[in-house]
Amino acid sequence: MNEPRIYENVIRIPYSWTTGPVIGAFLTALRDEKKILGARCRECKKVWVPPSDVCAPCNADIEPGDLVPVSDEGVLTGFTRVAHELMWRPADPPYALVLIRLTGADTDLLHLVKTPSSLDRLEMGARVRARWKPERTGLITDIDEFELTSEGNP
Amino acid sequence: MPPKVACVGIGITEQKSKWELTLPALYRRAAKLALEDAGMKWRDVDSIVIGNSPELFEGVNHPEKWIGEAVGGYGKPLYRVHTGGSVGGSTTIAGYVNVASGMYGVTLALSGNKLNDCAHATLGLSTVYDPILGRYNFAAGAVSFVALQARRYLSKYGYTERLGALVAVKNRVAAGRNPTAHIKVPDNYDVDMALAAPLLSDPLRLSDCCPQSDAACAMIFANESRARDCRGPVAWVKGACAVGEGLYYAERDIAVPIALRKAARTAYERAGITNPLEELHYVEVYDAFSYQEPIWYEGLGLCEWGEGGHLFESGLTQRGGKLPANMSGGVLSSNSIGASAMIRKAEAALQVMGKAGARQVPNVSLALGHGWGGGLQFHTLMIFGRDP
Repeated sequence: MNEPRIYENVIRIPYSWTTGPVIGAFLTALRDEKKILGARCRECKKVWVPPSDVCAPCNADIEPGDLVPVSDEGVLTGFTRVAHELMWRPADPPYALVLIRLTGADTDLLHLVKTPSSLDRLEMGARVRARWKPERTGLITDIDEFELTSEGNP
Repeated sequence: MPPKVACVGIGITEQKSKWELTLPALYRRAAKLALEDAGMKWRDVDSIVIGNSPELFEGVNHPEKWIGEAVGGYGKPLYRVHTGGSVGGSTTIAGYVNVASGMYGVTLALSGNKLNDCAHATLGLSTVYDPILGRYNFAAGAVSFVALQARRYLSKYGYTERLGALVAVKNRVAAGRNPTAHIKVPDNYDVDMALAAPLLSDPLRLSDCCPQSDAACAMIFANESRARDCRGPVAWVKGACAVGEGLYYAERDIAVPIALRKAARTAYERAGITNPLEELHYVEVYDAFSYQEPIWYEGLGLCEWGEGGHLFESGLTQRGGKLPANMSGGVLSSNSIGASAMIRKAEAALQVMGKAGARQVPNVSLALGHGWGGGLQFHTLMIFGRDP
């Protein structure tokens, strides 16, 4: 009679977030050109990937004209192999969440490594390259994952 | 008495149905307008307070994480405050307190929302009801809950739906003079046109309800020495107070805002006001729904309980009246929620500074801005004066 009850429900609300012009151009380049754009701050000249509307340390505006292409290759600056199965997950474990400093960028990009042969060889500074999806829709996951390159790695 | 603090700069973005900017970029726009207004640079800001509505309203969780760096927050003291619809008021008060405490010389307070990033604001609003008793499942949103308040007010004091239409006409026509207002109507808009609007939730018609807007507002508060460095007019904070009441409690009457009455008493005492109807020159109340304007008059002690409708009908709060109210068009004409309670304070301050443009009321030296949020339960007030 007096036992506490458990009440379950799900909050389900559709949203449509505006990307703004800078992030919009970044997403379009992923989809149409398989190209990664960074935002070069006009003050410190540092390149943000992914781009932002503002360079925080300089407090400087970033506009679409400040976008420059960077390489789709870079080095790992952080990694963790995810083993637990979350309700929301980008892939079935094991996969790795990684930070990548792309060549030409001054910030770290958060992305994934999924290929088993790459997962076995993760280490700081390992060279990686984007593997693009054949069908792209203008999302950060148009890059399916990053793979360790054959050259430059042990 | 706390140290003297002034609002030295105000930035209000256009309030409209869609800003094609990210949330941080919209806040940045408001911040730049306020800095320009104050004649200040980013480096002049010592601390930052960010306001934003409950996260589900626009689907951005922990928004200060994203917004902070866009408003000069890199390496500066920054925090977020949050009280639902009154968040803009709480943020304004927090910005003021940051300076009044002596901790910071200049504080930038910002609040806003992009309500149109949500499929319908009522979906997010419906989730603020407690999860267990299924109030979320009633999908009352704000409209139907306030409809309960409006019906109670009309029944209790014998007013008719004409009262809501009268408020709608005053505020929607006033919005025509406000370049940032969202909904504007022609000058010949009248009570019959308001009463012909479609019914949303009896007695509320579309004409009685605010739109859902995208907007941000920024206000800069400065201590006395920094305020004296400003070239333009400033608005001195004479009194501020925030009071909450319970959501459901014995004998609660949602048409009798006791928390507002208490907040008003405290704010008046701090400002040295004994008769607000005689001493105030301008008020901006949070009229998200038309019938609330007379209810808030009562809470503000401008008249006795039940007399707010008669006060409204007397014309005293119309343009040209003794105490004009909501000459900005009010929340009824523009409602981003996040910015709205701050804009009420900002509009009051602009009137005191003499910078309200076409909506300026002559000779305003004491003005009040109000906000409400939660289940009609959180009230915020700030009173500005021309003299410190």
